[in-house]
Amino acid sequence: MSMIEIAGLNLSFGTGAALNAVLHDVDLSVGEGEAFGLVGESGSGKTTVLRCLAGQYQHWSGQLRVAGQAVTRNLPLNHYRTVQMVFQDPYASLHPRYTIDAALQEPLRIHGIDGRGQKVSEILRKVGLNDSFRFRYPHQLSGGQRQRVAIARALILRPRVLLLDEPTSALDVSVQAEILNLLADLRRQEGLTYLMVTHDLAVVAHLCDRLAVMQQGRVVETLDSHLLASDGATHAYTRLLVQASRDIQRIPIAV
Amino acid sequence: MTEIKLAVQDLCVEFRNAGKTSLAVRDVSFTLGREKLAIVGESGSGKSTVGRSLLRLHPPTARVTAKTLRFADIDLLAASEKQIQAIRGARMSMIMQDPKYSLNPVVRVGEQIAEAYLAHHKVPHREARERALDMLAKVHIRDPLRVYDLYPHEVSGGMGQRIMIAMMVITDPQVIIADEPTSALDVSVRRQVLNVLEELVSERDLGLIFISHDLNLVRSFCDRVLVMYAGRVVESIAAADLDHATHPYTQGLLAALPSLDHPRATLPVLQRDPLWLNA
Repeated sequence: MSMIEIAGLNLSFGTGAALNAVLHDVDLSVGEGEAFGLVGESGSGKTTVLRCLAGQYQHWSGQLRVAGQAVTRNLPLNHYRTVQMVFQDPYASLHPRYTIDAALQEPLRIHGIDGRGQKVSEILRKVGLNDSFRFRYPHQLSGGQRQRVAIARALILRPRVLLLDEPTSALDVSVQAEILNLLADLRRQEGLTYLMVTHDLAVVAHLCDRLAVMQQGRVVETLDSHLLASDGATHAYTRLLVQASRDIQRIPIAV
Repeated sequence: MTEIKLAVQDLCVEFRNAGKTSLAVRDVSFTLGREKLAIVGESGSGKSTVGRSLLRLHPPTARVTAKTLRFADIDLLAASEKQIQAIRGARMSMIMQDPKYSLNPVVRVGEQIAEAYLAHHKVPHREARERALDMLAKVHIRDPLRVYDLYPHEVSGGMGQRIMIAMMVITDPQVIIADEPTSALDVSVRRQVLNVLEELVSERDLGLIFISHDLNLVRSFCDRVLVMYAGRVVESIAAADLDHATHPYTQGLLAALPSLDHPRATLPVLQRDPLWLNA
């Protein structure tokens, strides 16, 4: 069964002469328990796809389904118990004046879930932190610890789908390794489905089973991620990205 | 390596804050000739602090000491502020990480490049403009006349970074310090910017200090690599020999990188040894 189903997704901003179409007929299907990567350069529309699924934009057209439920314009509260998002920059995504405890309890309170204290400690342990972090503020945590808290905040409602928007690109390589391992472990333990946006093909090859390559609002190629290493990509743009990330051959400068 | 442009021996940088002193850089030594020298390390390892102390860009709360801190024949520690101003931006300049934050948002980009030239040369404005246009063409900007009159928000990230490079190179410096010049850019644009830098380094008599946290990039772009940990240089190695790095920290950093060609189930996580702080 596919967990995320996107068909003919279109989105534009502005009207008349200023009309700017950002997504053109995007089709994607992500299976249950699958980790799916979405790559492309800045402005190619990859984060926009995530935002449509998260309900941050309402004026798109097309078909979106998550876990068999159609994504509607006015999303019901329980949509967010299925889908949660983790943002790029852990320095910007946690409220600076909320303790970790308050930040983690907020989604529980919104959804009227009891036993919050207990749930907060459980989730902190699950992401490799412990109760000593509960009453600290974000500025007392390192970047890697903050990203763990952001992941905990997304997981505390026990969602089935995580939308990951460049979850490691603001982190050092050594910390990136820890977070990638954590994401891989969590997926195995909880049977989560990931849709991850990144521009780092090595990260996709590491974490994802399949990926889609986007360019100027279109999906140009969908392929298995092991094909990246064996030069199995067929689209010229994908091959360019593979080459650029290997960083061996020099791409001539466009003159 | 030809002549030595920069000589640094036992550089220490101390910050004093609310009665506490913290040592950000400890006993760093290196020399720079006509080459591309990389300084790599995690955030907080002191790599940018080293770059900034070469240009004396630190606030008065910083205490910079060194046995030697020499640029060409000038002692950078003893030099007066006036002498430093004649060097900074003219003979030694710095490229910052993000063009979005480093360019003046309300001045046309061409004017900003011309301004850098006028700050160090007494020439008519018209000549500075000509030079800025030449420089834009040198960094492979297709239509210099059009781009000259654009504002920073009207150019892309890669173009912005090439404009920054043009601004820093127009005064014909001998040393360029590039502080993470490509980490705000996409992979596909990154190569362009690196090619431009490489061209300039090989054309001119330039020494480049390339500050980065990206080991893969440094490996293919630079000649020599200094690896910093907690304010110290733990290893200095030729970029081509990075695979044979001996320090466990360097090895750990390399192993932690996910790889396109060699997938692994779990990435090894860096185990920090407290001994590295004093080694």
